[in-house]
Amino acid sequence: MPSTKAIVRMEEDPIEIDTGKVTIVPGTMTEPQCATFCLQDEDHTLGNAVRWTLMKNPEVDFASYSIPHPSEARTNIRVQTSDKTTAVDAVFKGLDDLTDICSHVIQSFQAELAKGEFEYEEETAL
Amino acid sequence: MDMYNNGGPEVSIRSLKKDSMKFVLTNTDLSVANALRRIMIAEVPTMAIDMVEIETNSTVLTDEFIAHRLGMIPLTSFDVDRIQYTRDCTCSHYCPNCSVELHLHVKVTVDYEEMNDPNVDKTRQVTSMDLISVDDSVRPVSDDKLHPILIVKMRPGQELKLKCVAKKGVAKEHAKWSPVYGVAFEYDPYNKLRHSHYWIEEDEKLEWGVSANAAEETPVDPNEPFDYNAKPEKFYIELETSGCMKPEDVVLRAMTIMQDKLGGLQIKLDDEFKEDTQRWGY
Repeated sequence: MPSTKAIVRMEEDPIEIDTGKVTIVPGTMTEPQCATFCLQDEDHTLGNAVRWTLMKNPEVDFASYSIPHPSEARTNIRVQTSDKTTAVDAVFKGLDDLTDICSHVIQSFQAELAKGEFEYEEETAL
Repeated sequence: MDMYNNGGPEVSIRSLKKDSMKFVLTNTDLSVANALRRIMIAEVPTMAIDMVEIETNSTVLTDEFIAHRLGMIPLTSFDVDRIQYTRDCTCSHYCPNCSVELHLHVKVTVDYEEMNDPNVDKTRQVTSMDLISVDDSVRPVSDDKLHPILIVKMRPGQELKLKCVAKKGVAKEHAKWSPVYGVAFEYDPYNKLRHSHYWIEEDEKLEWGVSANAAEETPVDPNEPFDYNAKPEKFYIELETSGCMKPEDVVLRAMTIMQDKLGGLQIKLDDEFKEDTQRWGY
């Protein structure tokens, strides 16, 4: 019985949408306070920034990221936390914090644009 | 704003031009500034010619040579959000929802009267101006008469007829989709943090002058001990676009893309692993 969400077209196999962007590396979650997450199709762009927000969290004892192999598009993030939280919650919060930082950059950037206190040139004179 | 980042990042725009801008990002970490730089270069989607169907080509350049040159032409991508990625589209090959067609047909006729006159320039320059787009919002950037992009030069009797299909993409896949021609990224112009190791012949100060951004920082005191706790604070970012979109849009889109990535990961985490930890009794 195919899943009700999948749309079956003609006689082809139903198109599977791969949402497996995050996995926990097998065997790394020996307790809920530690885990290594594997992010598919991510690189230093996200890895380094998420590592930083994780390390900012006082409940996080250890956070690091690595790209195990240069020809595989995946990033591993290792997190170890205190007993007050879990690795999954810590990463969730880390992502949340980074989202807030991004919103703040956008707000600040738009405020600056609106203020217009900078050198401005619409069209280069030809 | 989050509790540990005293107020959050600040942006100060220094200059804004038609296709370039300068700004300073402060009160954030190097990793965030670098993420912004990396996304602007490689992950902001634009339109570029991705497929070329050549009907006639009697020019001196081969089909693949011309196809490659066409791919490099920047296309206006202000409306790129309206267009889908072909891989996400419901169509089988390509359709108006996920692509834009551009046509080119140039035939240089032979003028028998001028044929042997050495004073008449018989070379026809085929440029980006000859590309006729089906969609007015996606067309070659430099379609003004002053700066067209040369595709091929033709002589009388030659003909070039082709159809291009422009698709949405990111520069991670091919650099032709990059909205920026360059992003200058600098911090710590006096190299107080010693992140740079300059190659020198004799004298570092003489051979490596400080950049214009140094005017915003205090010069390094040679007697001061090295501060190993210091962190980069001010990031001087300058970007130049290909003209496919406004520089301020590139920055804003980059930050939005970052948020979308993070949001996607959060949904995934929430769906899959909250239960995993709950099993442990949390």
